[in-house]
Amino acid sequence: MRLGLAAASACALFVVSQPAHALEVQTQVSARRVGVGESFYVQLTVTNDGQSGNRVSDAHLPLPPGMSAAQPTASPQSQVSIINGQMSQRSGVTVTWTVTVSRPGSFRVGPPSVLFAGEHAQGQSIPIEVVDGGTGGPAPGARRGFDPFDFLDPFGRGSSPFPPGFNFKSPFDDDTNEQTEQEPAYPEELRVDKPPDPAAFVRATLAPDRVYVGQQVTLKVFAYGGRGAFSLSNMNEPSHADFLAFDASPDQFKAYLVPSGGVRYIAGKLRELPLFPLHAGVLRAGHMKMEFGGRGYANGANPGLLRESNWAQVIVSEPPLQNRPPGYKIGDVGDYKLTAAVEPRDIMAGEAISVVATLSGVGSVPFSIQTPEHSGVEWLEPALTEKVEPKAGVVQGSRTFRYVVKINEPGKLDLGEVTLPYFDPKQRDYVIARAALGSLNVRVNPNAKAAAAEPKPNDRLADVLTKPRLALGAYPRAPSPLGDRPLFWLALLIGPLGVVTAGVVVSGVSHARRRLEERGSSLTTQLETALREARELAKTDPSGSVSAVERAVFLAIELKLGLKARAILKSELASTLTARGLRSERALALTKVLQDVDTLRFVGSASGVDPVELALRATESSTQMRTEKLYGAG
Amino acid sequence: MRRFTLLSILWLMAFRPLVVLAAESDAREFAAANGALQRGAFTEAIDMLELLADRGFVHPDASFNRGAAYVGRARSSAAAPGDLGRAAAALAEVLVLRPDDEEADKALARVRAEISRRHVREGAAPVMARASLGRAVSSLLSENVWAATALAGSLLLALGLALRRFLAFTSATLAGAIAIGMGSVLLVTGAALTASARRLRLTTAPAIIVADEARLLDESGKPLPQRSGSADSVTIPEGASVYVLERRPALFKVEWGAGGGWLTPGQVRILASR
Repeated sequence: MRLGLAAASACALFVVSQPAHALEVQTQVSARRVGVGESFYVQLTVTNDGQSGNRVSDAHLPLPPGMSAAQPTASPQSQVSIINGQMSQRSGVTVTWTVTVSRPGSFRVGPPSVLFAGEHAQGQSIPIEVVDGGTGGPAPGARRGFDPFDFLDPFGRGSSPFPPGFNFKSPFDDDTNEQTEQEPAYPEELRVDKPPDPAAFVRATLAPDRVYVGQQVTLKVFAYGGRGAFSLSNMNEPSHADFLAFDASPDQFKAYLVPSGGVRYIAGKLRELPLFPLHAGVLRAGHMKMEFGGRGYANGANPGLLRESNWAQVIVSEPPLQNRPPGYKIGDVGDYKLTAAVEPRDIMAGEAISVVATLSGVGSVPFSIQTPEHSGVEWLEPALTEKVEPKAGVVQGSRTFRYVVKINEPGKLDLGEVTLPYFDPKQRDYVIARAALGSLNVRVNPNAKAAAAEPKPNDRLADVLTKPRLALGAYPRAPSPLGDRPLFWLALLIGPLGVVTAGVVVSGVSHARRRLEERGSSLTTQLETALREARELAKTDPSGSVSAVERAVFLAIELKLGLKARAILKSELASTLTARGLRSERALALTKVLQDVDTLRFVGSASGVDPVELALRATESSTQMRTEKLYGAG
Repeated sequence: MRRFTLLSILWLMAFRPLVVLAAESDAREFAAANGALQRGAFTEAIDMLELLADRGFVHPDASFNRGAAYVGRARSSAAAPGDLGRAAAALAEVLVLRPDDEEADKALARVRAEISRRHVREGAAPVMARASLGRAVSSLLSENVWAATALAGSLLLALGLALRRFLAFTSATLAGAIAIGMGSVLLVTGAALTASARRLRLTTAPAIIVADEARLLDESGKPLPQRSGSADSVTIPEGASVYVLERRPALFKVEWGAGGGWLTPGQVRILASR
């Protein structure tokens, strides 16, 4: 199994250390034949791998007499080349001189040179023929076809550093970009419908999304850079704590141009890990962090962009219980074949044979198989050799179990078979891989008998559980817990709360009764007080007496009828009292008392009502009314 | 009523044969496992009995034979790590299902003693884990006994309150006061311990350690630091009783004595219950 880190380094180094570390120098000229007074351009393009900087100085173009050049201009360049899926990045500078000729003749211009990133770069000298008069040339604005890999003029729209009309190919051009101009088709697994980040992102996938415990699921992690070539650093390994992992990551980072969401990403696969879930559940894996570096990825003080991948999830379930064979171990999933070889087949009792069983197939290949059990046959721990690795992304291989088997009893012995029950996810059913071991001829060994008779030392459990139970006996069912029944908890409260409630009710009733009694006696007292005041004040304070009379009448009515008569109009009082069962004569008498009260109050002694007589009348009516039976009350 | 009866008959006609078939299949596999056990094919017997258990078949005699098969294999040359722990788990399961099974009780004691002996022989100190106070008190009596105590307390309290409230005799008032005191104590204690026992029953599951040694982990799966430099403080020996408090796909939270931690599911065998 390769270490995943190796692939990480390959990816990072790919961008930074692709073949050419040396300078590449190209010399271009806009025209070899110019007229006197015309100008032409000489262009020197110097590129390197971008790691040594791109500082330019000492630009120099030797010119023959009759030619002059203005101050050269320099423009930085960046180039990404993808050839057969391999990405390389170069950066550099293009220095342009505008040369004006003043006399005819044949000359050699150059060679142009610059000091680039501390290295001296020199182009080729260029033969120029200067003629009298104009030379004409290609129409301005002439366009070449769409060329995404021509960093000088990707769209042929004149964004080339050459002036219009200078895009034709010079015989002196040593441009080698022709071979990089074919954009390769990218694998479907790199397709992204909605890129999460136009600058850069990392994507993790797990497929398939539903598997059984022990079935392979493949984790892939892809990196996408939307700002040109990038290097990756500070990468961690994708997490996969709940899985047994293999590594099928590519040896080299193959980059592709992947257009998505209006951005052309440089993308490639970083990791491919076949994983085998160790338990059921919704498991996740793939979280990975890394830093995108490079010219387009610097972010302020940060030299690179830190990006994290998503967590990829897979739903893992155990194979079904239905049809599960005895001895099946959770996780034994795949498609396997079992073969076995036994030798020798003719031995003496007490000797050992060799059994070599090979389990091979697709899957993580289980670490153990089932061996047959016979009395007198002892299987020792097997020696294990294995070769399990991913091939074309699918883990497969074999494990060989070499057993030493001691045969203690003589006779003809059928060894039976070694087996492995496993679950085949394609068939969605259990299968048992089997390999027959054949039979042995075990001869009598005179020394074996004594050995077999030796008791096992320190076997303190020899007499424990020696007799299995042959039938399923009865056993008591667990009583249903009382605490699970809501009624139990209610019952706990019902008794005490019932008694308390009953006590409260009884108390309340007696209290109310007492209050009623108290209230009744209180009215009587008030009535007597009012009548006494009425009589006492009749001579000295007529108005006080009148008030007392009025209060006494109302109290007498309330005491007799339970009616608060103050709210009733005096004109309706008699009929109301009569309707409540009071005799009409009494009702009229009480009404008359109250009318006299009003008269005396508002008219005074001129009314002819005698306060003393009024008080006596009120006393008489009140006293008599208390003993009278109500009309209709039986 | 007639309709209900008809539906019941139809249901029985439809599903009864399946239930009978399943029961017959379980009995057949139990018999096959016994055959393997009697001829010394312990692994075969274990595989069959474990499969029965996986299918949800719960019976003390099946658990007993599973324990016997594990003990048999532990004594054989094919012994696998954790066999004695699994035997202890099977026997503990028998006692959960049939608490008065003396044979299983004695066998469990012997298996645990053997585990302890091996533990000590390997240089480890014997580990005694005391149950937490709440569990210790709740486990003194069964949940239903605590519930009955609470009910008795409730009745006594009600009686005391009634005597105090409705009878004016001095003797009745005195008897009422005593009943109120006793009833309150019984009610509160019984109800609290019923609730506690119920909570423990519903939220925790008794289990046995079936690994050679189970190192306690933290929630993220990292080993817990040792206390006072001893690995025994964070290692649960094989065959020890624990309670599973929480189950996650990759880790089980367990209570061991007054402490606990996390273990991988393969180190723990949860006991089947009735």
